[in-house]
Amino acid sequence: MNLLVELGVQGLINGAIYALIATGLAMVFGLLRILHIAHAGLFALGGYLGLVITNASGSFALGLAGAMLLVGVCGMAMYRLCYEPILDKPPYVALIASVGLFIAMEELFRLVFGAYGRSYRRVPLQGALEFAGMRIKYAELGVAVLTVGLLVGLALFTSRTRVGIAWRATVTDSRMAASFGVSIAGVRYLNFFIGSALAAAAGVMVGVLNNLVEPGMGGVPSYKALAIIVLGGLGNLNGTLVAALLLGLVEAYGSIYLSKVLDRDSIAFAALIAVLLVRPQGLFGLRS
Amino acid sequence: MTDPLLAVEGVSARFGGVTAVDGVSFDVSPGELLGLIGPNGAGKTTLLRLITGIVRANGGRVVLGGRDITSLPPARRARLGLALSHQIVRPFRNMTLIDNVMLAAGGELTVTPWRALCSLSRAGAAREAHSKLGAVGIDGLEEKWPSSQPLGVLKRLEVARALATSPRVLLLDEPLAGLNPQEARRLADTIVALNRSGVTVVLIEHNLGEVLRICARLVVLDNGVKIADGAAGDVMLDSGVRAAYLGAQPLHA
Amino acid sequence: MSAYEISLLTLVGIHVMLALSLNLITGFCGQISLGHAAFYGVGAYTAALLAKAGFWMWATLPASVVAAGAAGLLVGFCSLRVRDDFLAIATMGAGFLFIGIVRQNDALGGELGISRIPDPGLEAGGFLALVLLFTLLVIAFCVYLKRSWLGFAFDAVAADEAAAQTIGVSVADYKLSAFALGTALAGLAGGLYAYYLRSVGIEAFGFPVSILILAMVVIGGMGSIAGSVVAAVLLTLLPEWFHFISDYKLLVFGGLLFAIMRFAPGGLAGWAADLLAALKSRT
Repeated sequence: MNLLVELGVQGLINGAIYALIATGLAMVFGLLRILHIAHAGLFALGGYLGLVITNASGSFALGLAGAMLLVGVCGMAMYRLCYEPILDKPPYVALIASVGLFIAMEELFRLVFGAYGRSYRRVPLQGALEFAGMRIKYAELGVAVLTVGLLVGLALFTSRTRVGIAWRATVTDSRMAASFGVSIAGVRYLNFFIGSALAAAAGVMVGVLNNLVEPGMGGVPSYKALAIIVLGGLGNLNGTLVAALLLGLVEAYGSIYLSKVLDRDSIAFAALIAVLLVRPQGLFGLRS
Repeated sequence: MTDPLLAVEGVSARFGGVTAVDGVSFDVSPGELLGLIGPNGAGKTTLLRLITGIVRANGGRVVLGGRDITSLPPARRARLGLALSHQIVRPFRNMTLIDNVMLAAGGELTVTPWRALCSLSRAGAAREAHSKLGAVGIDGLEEKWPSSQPLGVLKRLEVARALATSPRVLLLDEPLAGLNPQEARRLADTIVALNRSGVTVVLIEHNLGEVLRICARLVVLDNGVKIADGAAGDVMLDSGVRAAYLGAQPLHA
Repeated sequence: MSAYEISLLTLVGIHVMLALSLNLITGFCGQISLGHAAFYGVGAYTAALLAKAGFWMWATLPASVVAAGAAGLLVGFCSLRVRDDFLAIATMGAGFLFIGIVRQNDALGGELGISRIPDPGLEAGGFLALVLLFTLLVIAFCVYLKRSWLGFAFDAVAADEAAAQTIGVSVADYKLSAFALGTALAGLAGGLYAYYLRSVGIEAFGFPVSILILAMVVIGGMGSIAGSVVAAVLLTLLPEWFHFISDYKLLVFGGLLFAIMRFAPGGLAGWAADLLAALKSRT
């Protein structure tokens, strides 16, 4: 019984990480219809920056905030330099450009920071909470708190603030929003800033959880995030969150029962294909 | 009384909570030029989509030449003789005008991918395509690409492409939309000529002037429901029709 | 010719077939596939397993083709109802699924792969001739297909599926046939690869390889047969010629992919077409 609960907690924690990554992807897709694979690179960049700043300054709070801020800005720059000029081209152009960017970023990380990864000098959030015979690391609790905080913040932002509402309007119908005076470019920059900052937060936390930041860390979580945004209904943020948490749970329990057939990382894709066969619009998508 | 070529029987379509088309029925006789009109949002395009199969009906039947086609997919209905010219033009942008029509003319060769793989010659289809482009008056522009052509030409291309499938019923979705008065009149005349040569036409149009000029019979939709069906002159005098278009109170309670 | 050159040229032939096979699906028919390496893998593993079981190459190669084509039909069938964006991710998923399943099953080679695949009995030179023959056949097939009504219908499906439906083209059937044909050809390349390397392992068929194949098609110019051929040759030979930058190889590759998409998305074929047009307007 305890095992089941512990697995569930693990699953939800992983789900939370996926949610942070996938939300950024869903935001970009919802607004621009681009599969922003380079998002994986921003995730890893967040991990590296968090580590470097924390090691240098001794303050994890600074590391986390700094990573989110800097990567947010990088995300905006990525939009301006890489995506904006090719928005009018067929969709595969942005997709492959993004892949090229991601590959280049991974390699840059390897060349600059070394292939074997870096670790925290003093790992933040050490220790664990013990209760009811279970053990939950403080770092894991940190993930949960951070994710809830950030996503609730995002939800409040998009429903209570003028800027947030303008963002939502633009995603729904950009021409209509423009005719109301919303700056489409502004919304796009904001979109990339927020999405990238969320990915950075995820990257920092994964770095803390494993006490390891390595060049290839972005790949697998981001591919899964792509599966998640499809399951969640492409662009539907609530659906994405639910799909992310569900996937975390399915992986946690599934890897026990399916390990003879399928390795853990493929569970996401098996789930994706299974769902698409039955519901081509994803779990929460709208039938077109 | 000849059997209708196309019979729409009580078809309905619902999206979410909205009923776009509610129990509409009408017939199309062979050789007719029928006008389907109604104010914006009346459900004309949805009705057309129900007939071509792009939208699944929530109720009712569509019968073509005595055969129930309600459960057939769009490509099958096209092969049974239902051709559509789109309201918002959809030329294949990666091929020339004549290739657009040629592909439609080569219907026999594209029945299955295997048949298509084994077929190489385009001569017959090219002749067909040339003649259809001529029938709509754009045969000088065969080698041009869609992106270089104005709307008037692309609208005619839509008609030519639909014609090239040798349809039994030709459905035209607002072919005159976006055209200036002279272009609209000329295209309307072309449609009349096609009809006179034996093609049965169902014409959805907003341009009432041209519709009244060329259609002998009209079906009127409003809010998803058919409100009139008969000779053009009579229909336009109907108070319900006038109210739908002008938003005025009916003359008689 | 030295042994090294023969080996390299053999790999070039295999990559050309691979690029053309994806070009058929993505370039001719407009279906984005991000998991094509999996079908290459299905072909390779089929040949490997059958060869180790004692079957001759003349039996294992057709089996590779059929197995990969069948897998392609399956994936194609799943892709029928989903839109473009989903298709890219679904095919990516299929690719990961293949790796995931092979990795967990020792009967299929598991994490370590299958090695010591029997020699097909041709010498290196003979095998090269066989590969080049198949490469030429594949090129000829693609040229024929493009000219045929199948290629014509593929153009329409790639341009506008809904419009294709209205002229009677059964889009689903055509998409399925594109997948089946393209993956079958990838299976052929895979079977030949198994005999070339005499071992197969999952690292040769993962997502990065799918991207590499897609890169060949895109850099060559989507839909262009000559483009795919040239790009496949270049992308196979360049890393060999530039091994002094081998540490930066991937960085250059990534940067190149990005730069081409950003500045010349029509690829080599597009660039050649522009060049020809510019020359024509001068004369």
